[in-house]
Amino acid sequence: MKRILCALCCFAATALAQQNTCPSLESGVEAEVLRVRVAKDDLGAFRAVGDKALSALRLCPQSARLWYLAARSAEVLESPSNGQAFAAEGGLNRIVADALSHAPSSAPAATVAARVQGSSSLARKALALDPNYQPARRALAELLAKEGAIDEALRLASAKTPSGPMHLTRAHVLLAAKRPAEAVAEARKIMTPGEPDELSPTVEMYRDKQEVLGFALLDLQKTAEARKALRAAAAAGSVAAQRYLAK
Amino acid sequence: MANFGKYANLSKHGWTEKTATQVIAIGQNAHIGLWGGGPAGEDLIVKATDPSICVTHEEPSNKAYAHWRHFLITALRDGRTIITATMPSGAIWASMTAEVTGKAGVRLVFFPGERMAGTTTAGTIYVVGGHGENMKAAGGPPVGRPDRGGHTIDPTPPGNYVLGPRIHVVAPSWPTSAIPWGATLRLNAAKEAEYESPPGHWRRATGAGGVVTDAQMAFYRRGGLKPDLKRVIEEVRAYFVNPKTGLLWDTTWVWNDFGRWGWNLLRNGHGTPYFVHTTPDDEHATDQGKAVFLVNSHGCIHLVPAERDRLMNAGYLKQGVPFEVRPYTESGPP
Repeated sequence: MKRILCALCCFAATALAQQNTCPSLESGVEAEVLRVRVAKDDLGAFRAVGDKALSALRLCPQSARLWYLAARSAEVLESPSNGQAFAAEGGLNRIVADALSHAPSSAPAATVAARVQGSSSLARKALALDPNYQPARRALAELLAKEGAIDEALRLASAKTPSGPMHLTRAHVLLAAKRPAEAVAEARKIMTPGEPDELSPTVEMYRDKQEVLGFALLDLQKTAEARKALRAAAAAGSVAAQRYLAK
Repeated sequence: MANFGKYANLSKHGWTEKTATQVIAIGQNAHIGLWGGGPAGEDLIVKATDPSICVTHEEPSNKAYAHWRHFLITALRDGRTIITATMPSGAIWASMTAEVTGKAGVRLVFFPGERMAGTTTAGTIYVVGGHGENMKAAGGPPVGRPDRGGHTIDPTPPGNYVLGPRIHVVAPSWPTSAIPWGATLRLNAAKEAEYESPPGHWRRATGAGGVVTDAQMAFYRRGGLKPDLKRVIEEVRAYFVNPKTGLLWDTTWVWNDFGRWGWNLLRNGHGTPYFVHTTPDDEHATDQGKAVFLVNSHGCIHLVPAERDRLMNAGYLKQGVPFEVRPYTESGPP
């Protein structure tokens, strides 16, 4: 009986300590998230976000927000670091899988997983979890467009007050629908640096805008303009643009 | 079939055709052509057998001379080495000798467009007149773009500079760089964060009128935003103070965007917007024994902290050392 009481006391004490520690650890990670907005090297700041989130998750594995931040940081840094940023923690796929299993009700975590795994069913699940979460809507639209479901993709990407990220999604869908002139028009509506609808490095929207512009202009046979956009995309880290230019 | 030689208007100074030997004085460059390629027209890989003596970079080719590729040889230290043109398998298809002679004062040469590392356009800083040392570095991306806070991201301009003194950079146009790296922090009686700079002089960082609050307000305004002071005060406070405990996260400021040390690139004796520096996240990764991956800068030159320390301790990274930035069009070596 004494042993059971002791074990219960220990368990209660640990749970109490975690209750006190987790909000503090989460605040530490949120301070890094705030720094992303003003850091000169905002891409590098994602490393601090990811490192601190992963470290905090050892004590607070129930925090959906921390799982999202860990997964999102790993996603953002995958290409710039050649997969090395979080290799010691199992890498992008492992972190995303863990986020999905520990935070199954998190629309942001499911959205990251949908993009990383290229899964429209995960994106659909993310949108069902939170129908107002725009990154989930955009992820689903872009993945459906890749699968050829253009009508549904366009329907998802039509918003009453479209944001920069939604213009980008529409441009991607229109390019996939082989409507390059409309894709160009949509991409040109994106202001950079703009306000992302998800925690993102500034370069992301600029890079993706130039990339979609470049490939849409290529489809329109405007080679010189297309190459200019693709050079800008490549310089900003677009692997697709780099591959095209290398040819 | 392939061979090294001079074509078009490449200077023949120091070149002996018969022995395929190029003599170069330390600190000088020479240009050489490579005619031909592999058996199926493959691009050959050109590099010095001993890259501490000289390095090769490929220049854009002259379209009027088909089948010729153009290389720049940069002499680094006294010695003789073979430059080879090889197939990817390693088979040597052409070779020449580079003979580097003489003495010269130390200078640094940065080739910003050598290669892609991940999504970063990365390069190398070579020590000329040393012992063949070099270090990885990343300048701005080859194509510029607008950024937050009214800043722009630009390629690092090619040209000849001189390193300014080693400093803890203070640049309030980046809010977290309004405080020098390593400054001591404390909370005052009103529980606002203060930092010490210069020693013995305390300034308030947080709250209305705090140095970082003001810098962040200005940053947002320059970026075309209309910041809410109350919200900015909260954001800035979060950098310093744990809201759950009311205590400082740390008693030392280690989030200056320019890292621990910076050297300004002086041009004609005047300062420029360009610094040679590290980033706080790379400093922290180094302190934790983690790998560092460089990313492109806003036009400055990013270094790996451990390599910065190595060249600093060797006496190459210091005030007064000439520093040349080469064009992005010079690529390689592999």
